[in-house]
Amino acid sequence: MPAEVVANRPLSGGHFLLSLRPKEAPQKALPGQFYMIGPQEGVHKKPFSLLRQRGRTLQFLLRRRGEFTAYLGSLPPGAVLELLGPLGRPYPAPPRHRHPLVLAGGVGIASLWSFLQRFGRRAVLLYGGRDRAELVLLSELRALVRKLLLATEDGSVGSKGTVVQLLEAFLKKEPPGGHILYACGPRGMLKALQGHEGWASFEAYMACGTGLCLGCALAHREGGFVRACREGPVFALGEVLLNEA
Amino acid sequence: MRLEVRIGPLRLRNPVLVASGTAGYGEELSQFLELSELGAFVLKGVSLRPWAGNPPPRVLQVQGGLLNSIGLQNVGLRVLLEEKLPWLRKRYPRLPLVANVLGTEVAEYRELAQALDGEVEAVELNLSCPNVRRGGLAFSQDRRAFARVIREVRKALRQSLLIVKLSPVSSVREFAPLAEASGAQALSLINTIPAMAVDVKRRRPYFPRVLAGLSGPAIKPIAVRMLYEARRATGLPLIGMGGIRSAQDALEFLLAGATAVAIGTALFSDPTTPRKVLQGIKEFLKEEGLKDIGEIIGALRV
Repeated sequence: MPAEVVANRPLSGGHFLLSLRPKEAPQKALPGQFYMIGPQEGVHKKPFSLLRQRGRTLQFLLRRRGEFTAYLGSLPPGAVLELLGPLGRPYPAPPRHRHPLVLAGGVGIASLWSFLQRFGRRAVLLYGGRDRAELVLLSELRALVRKLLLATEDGSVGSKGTVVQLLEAFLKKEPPGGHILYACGPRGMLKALQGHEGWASFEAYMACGTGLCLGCALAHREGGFVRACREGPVFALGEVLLNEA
Repeated sequence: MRLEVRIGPLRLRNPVLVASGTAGYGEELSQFLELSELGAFVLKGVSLRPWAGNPPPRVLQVQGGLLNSIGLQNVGLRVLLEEKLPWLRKRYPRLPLVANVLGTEVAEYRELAQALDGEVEAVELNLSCPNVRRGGLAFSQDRRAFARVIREVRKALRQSLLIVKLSPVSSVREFAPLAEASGAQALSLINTIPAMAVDVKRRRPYFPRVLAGLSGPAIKPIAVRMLYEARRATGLPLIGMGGIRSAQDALEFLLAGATAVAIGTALFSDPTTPRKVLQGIKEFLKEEGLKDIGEIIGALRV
């Protein structure tokens, strides 16, 4: 469906907040779902996590990485894009007696945002990036969660190191068993979390987002492949094998 | 307005199909498109036993098209017969189904045809996939092997129509008449075009199997040319495909001599494309004052 750009706000570290208003009222998305976004009349769309939904407006947090994201970042209000979604399997709700321990690496925060809107009051968020500029919307995040801990690789804010190192330090001080992980970030980060209990959203190169093309295959621990767009993008940690993908 | 077309004895309520391998077995597409709007549903290629497919990366979006190296991942014949076909039949009892079959040896194709005969309205022979090691393309480049597999499959089919999918790598002028002489009842063309991309930083082919199949708008003019060549080389009904994303595109194929067209890669960016294409065809016929789609088919003035 066509959607109009209503705002496109640059943030630090090459991030930007793209607000789109679809011509028809969008379906209500569940935490962790994504949209395929592309130019009108274009041949291709690419998948982007929905950050949040405000009435009829859909907001996406993106980071410039290549031509496609640079194009999206350059669009002025009034420009029209084509959307397909919401798509994919969402994050399951945390069990009552478990505290969500949420790990976001870089722009992976986008996938987790609406989960935090729903369960943030019970959640601790560990959010990391290369430097201060890679961590965005911090004051809004702080208001969403019970506790926010930051990590940067250059130590410019929060603990020096990665989110995974931050997690290890955090778990040393906490009683085991009370937490369940929710994560989204680069492959290296998700790979380090595979032994934990919880859920992660996995990125994969997608051509359709709807399960048709079988392009976004991830190797499954029980053999064969699953589709990131359809069986995922959220999988239990350990369910998909990251070394083969 | 009459939109019905006939592929041999098979009646299709309209000429818009989906291309094999771009719509799975219908479950996903049905969430975006009412499948009964299609002229026929063409299932993803099936082999005797399930194939896991190639390791990722499997797709790459390029200018004007898509490269894929899926490797014919499929559920295998048994699951197709026991789960996928019953699912489609139950929901869409009047929708003609086309099973696309693939193998590495003649005996496999024959066995698939025997098992599917009567279960589907038509069987489409895939002899030209660039993404598997054996079989695949080989059958469409060797005249004797090509003719033999078609003859054997035709013998195994008593009820279902035999469609042979042609490769864009071989000469249509040579292989279309050969398919006809060997027992094909209709031809579909074109399959993806063997292509390649390079990851310059890693100095490696982008795909582990090196070659991949190119589809999408970039190949449309080539597909139209081949369809036109096939039209002049054979009297068989033709199903045209390759980069169709609008009614305009579809009409090019129909005018060049296709009895039906299939939408493939365009489903990936917009799964409702077949509906839009059909709507556009209707509008065109109306504007031109035509009452029957048949007045367009092969009506190219050369």
